[in-house]
Amino acid sequence: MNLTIKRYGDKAILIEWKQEIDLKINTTVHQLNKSLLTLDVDGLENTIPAFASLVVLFDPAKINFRDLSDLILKLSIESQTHDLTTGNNWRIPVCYDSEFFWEERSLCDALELSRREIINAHTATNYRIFMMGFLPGFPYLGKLSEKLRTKRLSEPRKAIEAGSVAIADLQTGIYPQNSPGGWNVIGRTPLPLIHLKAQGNDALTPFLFSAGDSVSFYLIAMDQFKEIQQQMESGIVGIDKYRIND
Amino acid sequence: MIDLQVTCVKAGLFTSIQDGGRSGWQEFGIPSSGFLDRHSARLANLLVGNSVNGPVLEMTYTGVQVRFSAMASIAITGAQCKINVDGRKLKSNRLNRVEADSVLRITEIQEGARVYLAIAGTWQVETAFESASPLRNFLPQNRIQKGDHWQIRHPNLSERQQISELKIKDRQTRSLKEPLSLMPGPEISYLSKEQRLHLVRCQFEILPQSNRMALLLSAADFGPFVSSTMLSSGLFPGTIQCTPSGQLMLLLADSQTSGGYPRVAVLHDDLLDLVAQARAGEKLSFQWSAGKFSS
Repeated sequence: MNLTIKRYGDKAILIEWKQEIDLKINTTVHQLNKSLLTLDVDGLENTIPAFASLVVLFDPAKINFRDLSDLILKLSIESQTHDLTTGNNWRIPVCYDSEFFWEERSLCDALELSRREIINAHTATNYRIFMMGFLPGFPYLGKLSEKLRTKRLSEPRKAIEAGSVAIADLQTGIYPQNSPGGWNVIGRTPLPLIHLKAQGNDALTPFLFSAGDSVSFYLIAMDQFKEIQQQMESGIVGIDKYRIND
Repeated sequence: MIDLQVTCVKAGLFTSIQDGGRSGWQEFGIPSSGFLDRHSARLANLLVGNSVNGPVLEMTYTGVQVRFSAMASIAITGAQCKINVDGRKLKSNRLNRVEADSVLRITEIQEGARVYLAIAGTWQVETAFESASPLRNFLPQNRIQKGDHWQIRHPNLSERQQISELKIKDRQTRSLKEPLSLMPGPEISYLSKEQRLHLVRCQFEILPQSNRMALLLSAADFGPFVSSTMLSSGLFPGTIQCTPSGQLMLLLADSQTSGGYPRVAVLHDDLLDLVAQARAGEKLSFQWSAGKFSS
């Protein structure tokens, strides 16, 4: 897949593909990111994968732009042969009850769909986490069904609660923490997206998701929501139950 | 050996514990954070014999008052300020010793926005993602309030290699009055020819809404900007984004890790320490870098 490599300031490289929200392009982004990180290049400090771009931050005292971009170009050719998996698969329970479906009325009107049709459309797709950003641990999931394409709120809400599942444009996301936000909230998951070490988490990162993971949603009722929430708080059931890698 | 307790008697406008920041978490959306004026903060740590990227107090616009429970070795760097310990005046940019139960007062910060206080020893403060710098929802407590206190282990002088005084050069040879060197950003082509010229001709005023995430810059002749949509892409401190209204956002350490406003220019990394000392109301101007930065 065609890419361009640009200088981005004096300590970063920007790799860009065709600027589209596209599963194939995004797969290429995460594959290149992973193969670059696996190499453990001296002087490579950070990478930021996004929809159709990858920013690579480096220490100019250790490696120069030319050498690093040559390496990236070489990797991009080699990594094309790898398989298409880029992460874990998750099945995430969501309660779409009115208590959590904050924009129910406005969305039903704007989309000319019933509540049930919105839930069906939202749970029918297997989404990709194209990137993470905005807030620590916030996953940008796509692509949403065209039927659910909406605008952001004209006035962002001051407080959206952790676990809220929301949609905007052709994307859906989950708020990992309480935060202000401008997306249309349609439900809530009882699963915590952030597990700190102090909470008995022994994973490599405190975040449930990584960019490149796949996520699908399924409908749960309020009593199931509360049950799962309790299971998570008490630690009786591990979060791994919701990962469906075979 | 007696550990040292530091207690905040007066917090000032915005005071936080900061260190070298976080690396490797940007892909999860976690900002790098850390000292804004890295040069001054590291200098302070160097003077007291601490690791250069270890924690210090970063003050903005107004100083703190802190009480030391035991003898302490301290250094204060950054913007000009008045330093007083129980009636005794101290100087910036050197190693000072203060007695047990003394109160340090930092006042009248001027010729800059940020002052750093290093205290010798190992700070017993909480961290998240390997850094003591505050992080919303994860580590809010490291923004310092009146009454906050923390322990510092091994504060005594003899164990460490301390430097009594450093000759401060480098940053002092540069001034915010001179144009700051820019490299073209990835979306430079989103600006019209006229705007590209204005970018290096206008005086941009630093707006009061500026914070540790970004300096917001505005110039009457520059705006409004005809926005083209772009997909969210990676960001880092020093990047200058242009908003639809024609404001510039010069990103600082706490900036988001991605965003969708065009990245029209990038400041040279070593100038970040200088702009970290810029105050709201001050004016900045830019020039294109003379170096070759085409891809």
